[in-house]
Amino acid sequence: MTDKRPDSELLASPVPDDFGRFYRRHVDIVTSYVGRRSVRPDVTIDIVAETFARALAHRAAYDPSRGPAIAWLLTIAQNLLVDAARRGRVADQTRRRLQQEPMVLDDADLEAIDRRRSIDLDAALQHLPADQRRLVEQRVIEEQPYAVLAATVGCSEQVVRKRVSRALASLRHIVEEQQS
Amino acid sequence: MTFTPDPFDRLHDALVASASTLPEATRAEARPARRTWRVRILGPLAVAGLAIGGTALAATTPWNPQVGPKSPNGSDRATVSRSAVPPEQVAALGVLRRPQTDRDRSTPTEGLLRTLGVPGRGLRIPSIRLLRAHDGAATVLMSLARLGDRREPPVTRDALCVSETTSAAQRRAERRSVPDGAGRALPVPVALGGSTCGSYGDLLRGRLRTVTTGLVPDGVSRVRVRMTTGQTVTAAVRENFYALPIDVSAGGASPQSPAGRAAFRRFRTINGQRIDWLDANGRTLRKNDLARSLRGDRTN
Repeated sequence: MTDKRPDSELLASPVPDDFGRFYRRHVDIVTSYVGRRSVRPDVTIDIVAETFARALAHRAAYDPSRGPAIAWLLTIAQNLLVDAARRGRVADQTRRRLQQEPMVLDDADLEAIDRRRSIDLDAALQHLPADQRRLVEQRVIEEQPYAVLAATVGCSEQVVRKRVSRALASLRHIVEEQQS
Repeated sequence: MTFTPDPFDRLHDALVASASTLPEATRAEARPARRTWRVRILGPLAVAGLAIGGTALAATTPWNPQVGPKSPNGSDRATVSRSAVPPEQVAALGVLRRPQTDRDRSTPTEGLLRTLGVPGRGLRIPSIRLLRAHDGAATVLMSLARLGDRREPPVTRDALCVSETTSAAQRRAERRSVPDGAGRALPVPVALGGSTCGSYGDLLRGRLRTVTTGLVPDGVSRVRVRMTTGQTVTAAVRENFYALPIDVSAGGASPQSPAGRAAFRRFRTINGQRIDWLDANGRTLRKNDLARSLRGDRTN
C-alpha cells in the first residue's frame, strides 16, 4: 500500500525504513532528471546516490515551507551535476562520511540504470493538466518562489502550495505507471 | 537461481542502513561541509595514501626511459611521478606484483614510450609492464598519477592505461596518399598507436578495454564474447590482459573498398557486445562479486 504520509514526516521520522520510503517515492524523478543531464549511466547513479546521501545527512535542514521535497532533491542533484562538470568527477564526501561502499556496476546494472534514465519526464509532464504542468515547471524547474506563483495565479500562497503538491503527486503516479 | 538486486535496490538498502546508524545529533548538523576544510585535509591524506602504497612494488633497477619526444629543455621528465603504485591496483593485478623485468624495459617498451609518450601526467616508471610485443608493436601497461586536467576533464587520479603501438606491417599497409588539387600525392598520416585508460573502478567494471583487447583483474582466466552473428569467441587471459582473435583493422584499405567494408562488418559484430569474464573452471564471474572479493582481500 502506498504510504500517504508527507515527505516532511518521512524525513523527520527516526525509523530508518521511512527514509527508504522517501527514496522510493522520489528516485525515479531524480534519476530521470539527472539521466537527461549526464551521458554515462555510472555518473547518473553516482549523482543519484550522492543526492540521497546528502538528503539523508541534512534531512533536518529540509524546510517544507520553502517548497516540496522533490524540488529540494533536484536542487541538490543540480548542484552535484554542476560540481561534477567543473571538477570532472562526482563528489562522494557524504557517502564516505556515511561509510557507504562505492557502487561497483556490471553490464546488467548499467542496463538497469539506462532503463530508469529513459523515463521521459517531459512526456510525464504532458499528461498533467496544463495549469498543473505550468505550476510544476515554474516551481521545480524554474525554482520560482511561491509568492511569485501566487501572484501569477491570483490566489494565496497556501493554495499554490497545495496545488503544486497535488501536481507532483500526480506526476509521481504517472512516472510509476511509465515504469510498470 | 539467485536474485541480484538492481543498483537502485542496493542504493535503497545502503541508505536505510546509513539511516539506522545515523545518530540524532547528525541530523541537526545541517550545515554543509566547508570547502576550506576539505582542501586542508586532502593534502595530508594524499601524502598518507602514497606513503602506505610505498612498499607495494619491489624496488627495481634504475631505469629512466625517454617519455615522449625529446625536448631541448628536458620538460618531458615532468610527466614522471615518483609516487608509489596505488596498493589497490597492485592487489588487483598480478602483473604489477611480479618484479619489473628486462623484457618490460626492452626496446618495444622504450619505443612506445618515446613515440606515444603518456596519455596523462605522472607516469610511475616501476609500474610499466610489457604485456605483448610482436612485429614492432608493443602493448604496455602503466599506472599514472593523473589523467586529464581542468582543460581536459574528466580528471582521474591514479589511472591505469594500456597503450599500444601499431605494428610495422600495419604501418606499411596503412601508408597511402591522396592527390591534392594539383595532382600531387599527399601522404595520409599513419596511426602510431593509442591508449585505453581508466580508474581502478573502471578496471573492476571491465571498462579498461578496446573492441578486442582489455585489462582484467586477477581471477579472470578467460574472456568470452558472443558476437551479433551468434558466434562465440573466447580468449585466454595472460598477465591480466586478453586479446580476442578477431581482426577488426582494415589494414590500410579504404573504408569504401571490399576489404574496408569487410573489416567494418567484423567490427560491428563485436563492438558494444558484453565481454564475459570466466574463472579457471570456465564459470562466468560476476564483476560485482570479484570486486567485492578484491576489496575484501584488501581490508582483511
